[in-house]
Amino acid sequence: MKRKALKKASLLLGMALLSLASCSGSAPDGSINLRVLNCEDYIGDGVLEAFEAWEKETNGKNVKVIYDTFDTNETMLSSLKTGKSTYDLICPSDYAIQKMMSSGMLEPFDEDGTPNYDAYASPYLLKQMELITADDGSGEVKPIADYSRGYMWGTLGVLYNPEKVASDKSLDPEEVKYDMASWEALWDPKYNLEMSVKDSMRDTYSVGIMKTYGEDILKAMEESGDFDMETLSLLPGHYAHALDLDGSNPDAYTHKLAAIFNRCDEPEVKEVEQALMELKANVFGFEVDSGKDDIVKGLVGINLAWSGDAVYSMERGDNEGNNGEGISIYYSIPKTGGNIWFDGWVMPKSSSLHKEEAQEFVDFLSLPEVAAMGMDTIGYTSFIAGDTILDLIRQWYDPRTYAMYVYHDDPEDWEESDFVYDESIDPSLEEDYVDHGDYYSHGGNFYSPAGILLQDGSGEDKETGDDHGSHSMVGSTYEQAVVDGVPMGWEAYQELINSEAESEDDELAWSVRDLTYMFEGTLEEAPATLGGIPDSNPYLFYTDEIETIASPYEGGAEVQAGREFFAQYPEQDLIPKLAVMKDYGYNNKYVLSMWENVKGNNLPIWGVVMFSILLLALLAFLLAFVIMKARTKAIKVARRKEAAKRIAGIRK
Amino acid sequence: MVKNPSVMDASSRNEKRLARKTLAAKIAAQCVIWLVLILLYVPILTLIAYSFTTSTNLGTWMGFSFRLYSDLFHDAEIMAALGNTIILAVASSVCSVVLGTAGAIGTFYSGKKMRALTESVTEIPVANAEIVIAMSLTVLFVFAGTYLFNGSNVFSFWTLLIGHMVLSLPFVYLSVKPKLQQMDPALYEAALDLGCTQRQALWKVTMPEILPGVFSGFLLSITLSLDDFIVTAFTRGAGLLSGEKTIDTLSTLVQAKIKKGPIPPAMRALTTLIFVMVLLIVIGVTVYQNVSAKRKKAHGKGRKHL
Amino acid sequence: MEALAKAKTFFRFKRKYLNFPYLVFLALFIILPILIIVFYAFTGTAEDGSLYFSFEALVNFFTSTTKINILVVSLFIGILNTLICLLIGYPVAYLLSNPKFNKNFMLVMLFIMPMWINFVLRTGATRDVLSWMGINGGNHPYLATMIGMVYNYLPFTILPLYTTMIKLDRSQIEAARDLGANPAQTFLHAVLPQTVPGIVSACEMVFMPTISSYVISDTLSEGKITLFGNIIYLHFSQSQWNEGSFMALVMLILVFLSMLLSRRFGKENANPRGGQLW
Repeated sequence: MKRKALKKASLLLGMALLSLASCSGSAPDGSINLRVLNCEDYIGDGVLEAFEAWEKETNGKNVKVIYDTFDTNETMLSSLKTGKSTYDLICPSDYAIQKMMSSGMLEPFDEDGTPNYDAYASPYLLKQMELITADDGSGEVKPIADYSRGYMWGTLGVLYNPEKVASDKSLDPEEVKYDMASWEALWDPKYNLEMSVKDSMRDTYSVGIMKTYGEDILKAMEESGDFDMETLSLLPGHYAHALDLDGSNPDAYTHKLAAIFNRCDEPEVKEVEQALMELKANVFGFEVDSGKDDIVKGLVGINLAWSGDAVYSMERGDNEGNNGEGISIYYSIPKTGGNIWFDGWVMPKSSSLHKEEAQEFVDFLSLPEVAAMGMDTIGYTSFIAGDTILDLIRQWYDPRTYAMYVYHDDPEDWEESDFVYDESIDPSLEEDYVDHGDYYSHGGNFYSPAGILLQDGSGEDKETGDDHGSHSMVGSTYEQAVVDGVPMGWEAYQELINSEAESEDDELAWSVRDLTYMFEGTLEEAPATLGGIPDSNPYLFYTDEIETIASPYEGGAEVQAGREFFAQYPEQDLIPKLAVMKDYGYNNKYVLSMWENVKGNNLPIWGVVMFSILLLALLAFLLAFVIMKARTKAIKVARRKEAAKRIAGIRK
Repeated sequence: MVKNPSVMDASSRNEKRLARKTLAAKIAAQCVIWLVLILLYVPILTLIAYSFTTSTNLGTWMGFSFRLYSDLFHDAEIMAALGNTIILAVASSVCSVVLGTAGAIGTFYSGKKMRALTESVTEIPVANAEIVIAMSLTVLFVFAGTYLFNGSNVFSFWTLLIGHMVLSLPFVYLSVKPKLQQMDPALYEAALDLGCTQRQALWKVTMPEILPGVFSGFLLSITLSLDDFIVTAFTRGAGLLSGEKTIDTLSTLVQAKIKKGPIPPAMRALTTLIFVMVLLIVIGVTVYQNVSAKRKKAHGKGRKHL
Repeated sequence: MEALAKAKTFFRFKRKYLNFPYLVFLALFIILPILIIVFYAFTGTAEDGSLYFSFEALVNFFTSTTKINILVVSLFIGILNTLICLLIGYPVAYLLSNPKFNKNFMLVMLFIMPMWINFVLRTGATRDVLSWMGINGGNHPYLATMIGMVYNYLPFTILPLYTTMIKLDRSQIEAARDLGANPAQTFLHAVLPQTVPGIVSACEMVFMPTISSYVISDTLSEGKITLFGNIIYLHFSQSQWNEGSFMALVMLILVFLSMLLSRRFGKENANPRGGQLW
């Protein structure tokens, strides 16, 4: 609920850039055309104009961005294969980058071509890009990091509406939440016809792998010694070891997982095919693009989803689900892990490539402020970390924000709320907000309210009071709560509120989330010593959306269920359990034929009977037609002969 | 003449029964027609109904509002796509009609073998899978670009136009052909005998006779072009209202949008507007035809033209 | 002098020359692409991207039970859809064309108007409406697909049937009645034979497009029914052009077969696809 309310939060620099764009006017002649090909709806509102202005300001160049979109990696690749299009920058997914690179299509980035990217991209993701390699056409194997710059990333997980599933199947919602922490649940007849998976070869194959080779994965976990085998969670302090951060351990869990996850030899594909055949019998369907809406509509209760789509569905569910009453949709990455994917910018080789400007464009997108604009618009998670993104996440998800700032959840109250319009930026926005009930979702985009500022809690416009009680929070910061003038830690604040709570519902249930993997080393000023709580460690966050679910079965460890924050940024503990699915290369044909077999179907018995009857009837009809025609002809001929005879007789 | 009253009674009773029977049949016929029609329109009417609420999905009513209509006119993307779609539909239909009509006339007066061959080839795109047409055209254009145009990119409005013409040309041909068959061949000869040149005879005699066929071919072309997705997606390049960007039509826009979000709700408003507009045109044409038919009838020299 | 005159007569405008641009267009954009398809169908792609002559695609096709199964399912759905469309469309077209029952041209247009509404939107709306009634691809994939197919192709059936029927020779029907034929006999001997060309072109309009379309089956069967067009698309999108082309060729052969059949039955096929409508 909270994220969308504070989606209206500010993106200061972005706005400054926007206003710069609006006054810079049109570019004079002699400008450079930069041709960019991206996924549909995959860029922040106003980013392109801001880039043109920024480019003029900082580099003195007139660059005009010609922005095109594609629908799937496959259509993009086949249109490139036909030599149809020439672009300076394209944004394909991980495996497609690998494929393009190995066919020698790509131009490498300059080592120092994107300083912002180098400074702000998440260290963990940079590492992932180093691990994927391909022959770049020259016979030398290089990491794709040399040829691409990451843009957005995410996971493939299970999106589910526990209430709906529970009521459809007469289960306890808690049981559903518990089951969804396992890939096996998709095969469970208990959830028959309740879920849709993707009509996409690679995504559904990856789920098949997780199920088929689940045992192997568990074995690898056990061998690595990095996991608590009861809860399957990472042992404290084993993060670096499991991920092989120093590159010294070729037997690290992450490498083993990658090997299992990328199995695609013929016999292995056959095994997965078997599993997917069973899955097909159990699912509601294979959705092309409709899954993220179907779960909001209540057509399905479970959907295999990309994290960005998941965020979209959860927000829509909160507001539009169940005819506007709202439904709570959850997102889960099962505890054995799953697929992490990313999309990155590449420059295809061509004689007309504007390499310098292309790199400048990527570097501009890597400014945390611009990345924040992108995240605000499209709901996917940026490669970029840094202070602005940290602020953004705090504003969206951290309950400390709600405790110290005043906010109003009802769009009708916007005018009276503490969010202030800066009408100099876009006066039309105000009107939009006040009378549009559908305020956050606008024409399929996340609506980016660039004109609204959140007042600073330490500034003069601060207001006392919050949703949890009637304390004044004046002077509070993320490091310290100041409750009615008394400074205290945020943990103490929780205790205070909970001691005053009249019922359990009023109590705060904050838990701590660790996003060190994302932010480490990207902040301007990180404290020299990091504490173990969010107050003293900016890489940690409080959250109130994580629920701990006890096992409804005999034995079994408890699992956690999460929502938007969890979908956008998986917990650090999960990170070693995620693997990238690489290009299948030569084995692609096995996977393709597997997919064909899964998608194809025999005629059901009634169909065979009906079909035979139809065919027989058709044959009989044809036969009758031919016979009838022949008969008519014979009669005609006979008549003609008779007539001829008669005429001959008359003549005689 | 004196008639037997009982006979007269019987015949009038018969007539009455017959009239009742026809009336019942008429009502039954209307019921069947309207039942099928209503069933056919359920999804479309649903779309139209939900164009008056802002929810993203059908089935969620978020209160009555004209919001989608105002969104529609502020949505530059949809407007550009709409413009492209219309320009493309009209351009490809006009080209198809010119080429197809000329082709139909030429073929009709060609030798038998030539005619059979032309007709067979014409039928291919009618029955062929669109994806096959699209793919093979793409390969062709790539070859053309590589070998004829020094490796430059030929994909543009023109390739898109050709793609749509391949789709609609056969339908123009097949609409014009029957009109040529119905035409009295003596008319053309008579015109020549009266001193017309071939060209004049063609324009003044043949053309008016086949005009209804040409017109129906044109409308069919427009219909096909408006809704096409696959061929458009494969053969398009930069141009038209999209400027230096790749041309988007309504179909390609919708297809691309649903990859990352819902179908733009404003499309429902657009659908409603298009539907209402077409409905008005149809009503207008029907009324005009009825009026002119009546007038002609009144003047006693009605010549059926339809 | 004489030669010049000859040349003049030779080059003089004749009606049949009018089809010259048409023939050029057909050759360039219909025949040539088909040749390309044939070329790709009988080649294989080496790992470096070069092409070599091969029957791989052919062997692959005929040894794959999945592909044959998909073809059978497609044919089944194609035939079923054609039949249902005819069963619904024929009476409707008959009633519409009969001045006794309908003099309103508007009604005819109403049947055709759905074609002007974006196909994706229309199919999506059909899916929503069906799911409200409890029919969806999850529980009834065949039923949902068939309903969607009939919705989409009914206008294409009614149009050619209507245009044939408005030209029905009613005197034949009267004559049959006067000669004492009962309604069934009248229909069989006087009405049906006259409408064969309409039926043939309706079949042509419905059958092959049903097989080659994939959006409807994908949307309404929730991806549970795969048609032939779908699998061709899958191969092209995965850059498997050779196999895709071979399957396209199989479709082309089906096209030719259906054309032969329609020639056989629709000799006086004078009015396909709404020639007289407007």
